[in-house]
Amino acid sequence: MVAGVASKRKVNTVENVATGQAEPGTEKSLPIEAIASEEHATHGFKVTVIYNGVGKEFAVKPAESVKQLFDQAVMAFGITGNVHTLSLYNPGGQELSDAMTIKDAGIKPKDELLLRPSAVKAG
Amino acid sequence: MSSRYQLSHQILSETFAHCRQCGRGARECQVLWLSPWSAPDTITKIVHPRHAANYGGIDVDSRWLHQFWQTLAQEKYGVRIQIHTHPGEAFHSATDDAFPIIHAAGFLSLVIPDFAQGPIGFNGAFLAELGADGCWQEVSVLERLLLV
Repeated sequence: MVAGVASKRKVNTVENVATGQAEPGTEKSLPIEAIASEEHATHGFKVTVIYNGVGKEFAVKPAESVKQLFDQAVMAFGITGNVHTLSLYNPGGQELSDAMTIKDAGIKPKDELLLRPSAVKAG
Repeated sequence: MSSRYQLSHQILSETFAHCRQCGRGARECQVLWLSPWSAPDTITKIVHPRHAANYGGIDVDSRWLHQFWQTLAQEKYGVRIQIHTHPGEAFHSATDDAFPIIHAAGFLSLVIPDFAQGPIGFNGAFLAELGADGCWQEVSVLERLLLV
C-alpha cells in the first residue's frame, strides 16, 4: 500500500533511496512516516478499546465520528444498561465528545481508548 | 459473566472490614470484587475505590476510576461484583440502578445493610443482577455466590 502511494506521487521509499533510484529532487519530499500517515487518513486504521479489563480492536476512519466507534464498542462488549452514562476516554483521561470525528478527537493508530462510566455512584 | 461466583470467607471478612473502617457506621462505602479473566468464576481480589461518601451515598473519584480501568487491562482482571453498604435496609436504589461500574448483562451488585456493622455474612443483604434488557432484578445470594 505504501509503495502504491509512493509511485503515484513520485515519493521516495526507503528502498529506492537506498538503491540510488530516487526521483531527482524528491529525496526529501516526504518521509516514510508521512506516507504511512496519509495512508491512515485515506484507508483508516485500528485502535483498541478497553472495557472491564478486556481490549478489543476496532477499525476506524478519520472522518467517522467518535459516536460510531462508541456504538460499535458498546455492542461488542455486550453493554445493556444506561449507555448514556458511558464515554470513550483517551489514555490521558480526556473524555472524547461523541460529535467529534476520529481525526478531530486526536485518535491515532494503535491508540488504546477506555470505554468507562463517566460517573459511578451508589445510594 | 459467571452463573455462580466462588469466594473465600477471607474476602468476605475483608469486605466488611473495609466498609466498617471507611464508613465508621455513619457513611456508605463501596468495594469491588475482582477475578482474573483467565479464571473469572473465582473472586480473588478486593478493591476499595477512592470515593466521596455520606450517610446516603457514595461517588467514586473519576481520576481514580481512569487509572483503575487501565490497571484492570494491564493485570487482565475484571470487576464481577460491586458491593456497597446502606444505613439500614439493603435494597437497590434508583442511583444504584443508574450508575454501576459495569453495564454488561450478568453483572452483580450486592448491598449490605446497617453500614456492615452486623455479623459478617449475607444476612439481610440484597443482590441484584443487570439483565440483558438493561434492567436490574433481585437474585438469590445463595444461588449466585458460593463461600468456600
